[in-house]
Amino acid sequence: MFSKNEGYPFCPRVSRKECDGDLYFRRHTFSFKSKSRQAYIVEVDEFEEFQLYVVKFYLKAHRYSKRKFQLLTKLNEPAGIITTCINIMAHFYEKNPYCSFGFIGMNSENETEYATKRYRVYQKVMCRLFSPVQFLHFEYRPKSAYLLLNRDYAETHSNLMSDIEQFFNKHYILS
Amino acid sequence: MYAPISLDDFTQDSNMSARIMLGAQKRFLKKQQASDKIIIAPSFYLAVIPIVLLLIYFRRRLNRNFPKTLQIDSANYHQVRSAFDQLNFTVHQLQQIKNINLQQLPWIIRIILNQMRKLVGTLETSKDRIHNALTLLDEDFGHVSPPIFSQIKEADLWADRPVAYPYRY
Repeated sequence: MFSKNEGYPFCPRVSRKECDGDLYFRRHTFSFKSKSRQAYIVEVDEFEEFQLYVVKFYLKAHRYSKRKFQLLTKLNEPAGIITTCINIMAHFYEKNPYCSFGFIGMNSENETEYATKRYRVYQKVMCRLFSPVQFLHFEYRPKSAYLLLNRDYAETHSNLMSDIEQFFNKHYILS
Repeated sequence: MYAPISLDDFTQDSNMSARIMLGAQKRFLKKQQASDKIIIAPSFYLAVIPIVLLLIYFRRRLNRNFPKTLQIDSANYHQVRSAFDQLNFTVHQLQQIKNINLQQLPWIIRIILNQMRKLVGTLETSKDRIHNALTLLDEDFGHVSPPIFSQIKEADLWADRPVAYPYRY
């Protein structure tokens, strides 16, 4: 499970600079079709100053919904989709060996933000695929956030972790 | 480029020496339970020298096969971690050898038991060295105050995953 060739073929769509208030980043968009012939969109937000890539995905059919990250597809194909997201992460890691990754496991309806079901699944996958040698694993359970910090980059940038925490605090906790 | 550090030979030797010691320990305790007085056959005296030499040989082999500098990288992490788990289990099994009271035993058994204890000591030292190398992976890279993210320790990450699967990164 979650081996490289279990993912679906993906293709890059657009890569453009975005601005959300005072937050500037580059958003890379990918799409792929699952075995149920449903299209998915994967968005990877790149925060260049931290070499941080935040990965999120949703069903294309839900793209106009405000709750697109929270809705369940009920298609029972999470393994292939998660593997494809990992392959997209690998695509960035091959291009930039100093990159770190982050994600938030969104809560479904009737679920709190604390260690959501999605978060627990993603966390297991990260433990299995990313060794603690290349990446340091961090979690923030109250918001179901997970961070894979690149060890090589963190060793050369002593304030990286505190900068990321300040950034996260400002844009995800206080906002 | 250096070849990745291999603990294969060390693990193999530690397993073999542990098996020998566990076997000896079982036999010895069985005898001790059967009667308070340990009857030593004359042939046992002849076997003492080869046994002691074998134990010394194993101890030296273990020392020789353990890498001089243990540096963990993504190529050898899985192997080192598995070796550590195995060694932990072996050392735990052999703890009884350290608790046996030497004073109550005949001198001939004391000689063997002393060597066995030294061998257990070597295994414990190796275990501690691997443990120290693994602890370095939990290096702290600084946080804001109060910290937001909490680091998941290497041991917890290892315990949380199926061992049979290899890492991708």
